[in-house]
Amino acid sequence: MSQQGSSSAPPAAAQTAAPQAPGMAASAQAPAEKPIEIQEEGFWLPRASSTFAADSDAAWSLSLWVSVVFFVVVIFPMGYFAVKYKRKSEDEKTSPIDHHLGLEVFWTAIPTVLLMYMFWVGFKAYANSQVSPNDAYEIKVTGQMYNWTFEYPDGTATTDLGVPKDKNVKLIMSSKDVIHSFFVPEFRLKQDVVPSLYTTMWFNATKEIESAVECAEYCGDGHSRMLAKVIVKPSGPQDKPGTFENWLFNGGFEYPLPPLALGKKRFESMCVSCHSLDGTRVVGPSFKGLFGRKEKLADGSTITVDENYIRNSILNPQSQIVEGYPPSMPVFPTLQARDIDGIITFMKEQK
Amino acid sequence: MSAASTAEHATGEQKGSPEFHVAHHFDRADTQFDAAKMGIWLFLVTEILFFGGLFCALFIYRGWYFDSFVEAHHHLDKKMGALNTLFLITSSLTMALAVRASQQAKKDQTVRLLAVTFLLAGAFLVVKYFEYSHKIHDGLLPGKFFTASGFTTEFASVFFAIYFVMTGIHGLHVVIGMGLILWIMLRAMKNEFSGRYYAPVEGVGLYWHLVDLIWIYLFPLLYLVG
Amino acid sequence: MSRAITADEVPVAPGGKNYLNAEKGIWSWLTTIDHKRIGLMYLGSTGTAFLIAGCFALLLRIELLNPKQDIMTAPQYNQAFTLHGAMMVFLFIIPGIPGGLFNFILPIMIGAKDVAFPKLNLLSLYLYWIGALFTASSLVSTGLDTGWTFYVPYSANVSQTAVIQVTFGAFILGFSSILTGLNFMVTIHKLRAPGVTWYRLPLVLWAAYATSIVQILATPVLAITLLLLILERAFGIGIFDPKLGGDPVLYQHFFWFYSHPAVYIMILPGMGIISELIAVHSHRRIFGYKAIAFSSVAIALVGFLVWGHHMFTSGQSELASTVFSFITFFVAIPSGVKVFNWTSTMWKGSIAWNSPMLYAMSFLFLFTIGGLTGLPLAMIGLDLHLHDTYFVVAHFHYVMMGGAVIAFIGGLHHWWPKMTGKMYDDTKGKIACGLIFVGFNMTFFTQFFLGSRGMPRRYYTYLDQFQPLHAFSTYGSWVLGAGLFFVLYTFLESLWKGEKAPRNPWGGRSLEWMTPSPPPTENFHRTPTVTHGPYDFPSTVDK
Repeated sequence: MSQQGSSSAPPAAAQTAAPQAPGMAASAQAPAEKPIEIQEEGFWLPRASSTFAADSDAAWSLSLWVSVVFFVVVIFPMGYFAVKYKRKSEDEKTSPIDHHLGLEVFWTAIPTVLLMYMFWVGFKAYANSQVSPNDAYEIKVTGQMYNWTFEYPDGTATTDLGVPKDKNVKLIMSSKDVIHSFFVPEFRLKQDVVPSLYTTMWFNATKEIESAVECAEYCGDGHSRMLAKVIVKPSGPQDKPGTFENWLFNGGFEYPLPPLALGKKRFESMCVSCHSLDGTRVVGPSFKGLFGRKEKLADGSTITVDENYIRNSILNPQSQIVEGYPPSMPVFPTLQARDIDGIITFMKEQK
Repeated sequence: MSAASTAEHATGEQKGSPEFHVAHHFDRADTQFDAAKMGIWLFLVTEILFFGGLFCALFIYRGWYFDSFVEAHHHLDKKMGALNTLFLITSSLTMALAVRASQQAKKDQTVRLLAVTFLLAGAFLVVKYFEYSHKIHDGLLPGKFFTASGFTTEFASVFFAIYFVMTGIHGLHVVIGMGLILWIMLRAMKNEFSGRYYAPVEGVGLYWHLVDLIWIYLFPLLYLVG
Repeated sequence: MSRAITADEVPVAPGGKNYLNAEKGIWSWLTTIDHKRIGLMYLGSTGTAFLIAGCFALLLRIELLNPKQDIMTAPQYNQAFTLHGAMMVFLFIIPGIPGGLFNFILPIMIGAKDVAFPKLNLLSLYLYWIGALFTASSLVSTGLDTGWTFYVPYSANVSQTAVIQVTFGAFILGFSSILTGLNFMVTIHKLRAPGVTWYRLPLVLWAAYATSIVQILATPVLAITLLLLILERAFGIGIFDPKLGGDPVLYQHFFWFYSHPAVYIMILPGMGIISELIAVHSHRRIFGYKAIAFSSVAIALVGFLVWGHHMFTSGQSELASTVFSFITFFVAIPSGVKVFNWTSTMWKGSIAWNSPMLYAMSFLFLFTIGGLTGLPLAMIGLDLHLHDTYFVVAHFHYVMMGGAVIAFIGGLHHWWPKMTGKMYDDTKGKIACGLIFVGFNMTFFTQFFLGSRGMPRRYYTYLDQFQPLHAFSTYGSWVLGAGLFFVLYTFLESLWKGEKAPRNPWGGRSLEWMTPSPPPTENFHRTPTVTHGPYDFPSTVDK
């Protein structure tokens, strides 16, 4: 099962034992969507794309060199002794020297000092990573089985993490179900997301890139497909394409999607787990032929499924339930007016 | 079997008098006794670690949900708890006396004292039964089973989770202890113990004292501290 | 002047009676209280667990050959890695060396006829079997897919697998471990023969002692953790469930409070074995005896203070993370000291290039890498990148497999003649060691790269860019598997056509080499008196 962002597996089939949360389908039709990947640089590490990466990579270099040196210090003598003192006869005698205080103190004290230094380097990097600057731009992150949702201060909700370049960004994170972990290898950062708890992470992205977000705490069958993209764009005016502000204004897309395409995207991420397009009843009514139909409500009155009814059903789901259906539609607080317009447009196409 | 080893095994003595065996892998009786005592103490250490984890959980949740814990603990019956404390402390006394009696090869006294210990333990369990029934009846139960009303705080269910797990596991240890006491009592009735061999009685006694000690911590921390 | 124990103290019984043929029939084995027979049964049982768990590993590595590979579904994959881990940890490594090897050699090495509580020893074995049965029964029911760490809320509220069955099995296995530790500790304290002072104990027994400390103190905390998990899952008591006021991170604290010391239960015995292998096969006194002895105890004790280094990203407080990182560096120091001491022991020694020594040298190579790669993980700022990636998987396989398992296999090669009375073909032994060494590095060194480049662990499929490294790792697993099967073959072959083993094939100086191969049931007819240390090899200053 490939991890590329352009899988066309139907979303319903991808759901397993997940709770009521809406599933996210990997997009199947957005043109020129780049696959999710981590850019590698050098032998060991990915490209460094955050200010923190410098601290992390310095710590990495230190530990790598300490490891190489100590490995050589132990293994080369071992190999040399094994060859030089290879047994030639069964009763040859060996050295009785079995201790040397000076040597033993030396090789206890030197490593101790070195290890304390390593602790210090690691701690300093950590301290930098945990104290977020006051001016950080806050984004709310929700992890659930098996997708990530990002909510911006203006209410926009997206499935990719767009962030402004060279600005301090702080993520406020929580989980809806089990423990997940938000990991951006190019930023060198990771933080568990826990239900009923808020955890935070801050960073400053230094390159205009797209890179992978991976879930790094085992969470069940969809753990390895719980990916997202971090999209770093320079800050600029909202009407200028290619800026972060423009991306956000478009609802988390490169360019503003027309209502039909937007509605299809929202349907695929929010409605598909309970509403089908082919006439089968899942939980709620199928969208096929739904728009314009007359329906009888649970309270006996009759309505027409028009724009107002759909808008009301999304914003006040329990108020006008059709007879014979359960009152189980949840509220969708992150859907904006243009999202609802898009869903209405999309539904009109389902004849 | 070499000649040296025959002397190590006590020959069977006439019925009715205490005898002991030195197991084949011990050279001397006192080594065997020392080993048995050390073994029992190490086992008790494991019990302390086991309950220690639960006490940690108690302190942590008490720190987080202090108001809930205060409100919830008022629903515990202090009188029943105190009565149980009395039963257990007394049973520890009778147990200690029984160990001493077995050491002195006083068979009847040993059996009597062990019987009293057993009965006191049983009484503890009876009181516990009444306590638990009340709680179940009132819906004062852990987690999702908590159905009691009239609480102003939110997390009383956590208190009762801790309460039932801790007193429940402790109660289980009381039941196991009763089984051990019964076993020792039966062996005492067969006149197995004397000054030369009373390690099993001492061992069970130590276990019983630990069970008592754990209750002595549980009672104030759950029932009394407000 | 030291008087060596002579063969007179331990004559071979008339008719060649030894512990293997003393009593016949399966019932005599199942109800034995002879520590040697119990040890063999442990070896057979833990070896079987290793085989099954190893097959799970080979299967999952085939699945990971490339991202589109689908020999199993995602739920099945999750079961494969969970059962691999759970069986290896609970059914193989923790009971393996203490139950299998130490049971056999400990009493003999101190001149005793058995452990302090032989019947308790048998009970430990029974508890192992019962626990193993519960765990293995999941293989025929709904299995287990929580990861061997059983993190909540997934394991308590979401998983549809046999969580309670397996955790209950682990609970019972815990008792087996505790009783073994208790038995060994009392044995070492109380049953040493005259002349076996603390500083004349073979270092493997210092390791056994330190392991016992951990088994006794840490395992009860696992017991209560698993019990609470079972109650949470079965009854929803709300202790770890955030919706009911509980704390899922508290579960992690409880779990790792045992499981970190547990890794020392896994490695300390291996380190003890290495001391024996290097000393005997270099015919040289161990350099820095007291340092190695005390460092074992230090590791056991300090190991209780570092559990939070598994939880740097969990949401625990920054202060806690800082303290745990600091203390973790301290626990690295005794291990480093040991490695320097072992290498120094080889200086001016008389190095035999045989299977046990090759395993000992493999251990030095692999454990050094494993230990050194723990350092970046202990540096908190760096752990934010490396946690829960393949870097961690590589690190712990280097220390647990490259360390403990290699030492275990080396120890088997060392004491096999004593235990079975047969010599294996040393050439085959060395070839197998070579295969294992090459295969192991191929499999796991590659995984350091995977991890540092951002590949998370417990993934059923992965980004295409990681495919070449995963493929190489999988090929390595085939070489490693071949080496391990070759070891099994070599041992089995020795049983049916191996040469009869002499009393002391390696020229060792500790007590077990004074007994016949295999020893009689009671080990010694008369308790010996010891007047020299266990590494009293003829030295260049002897007259």
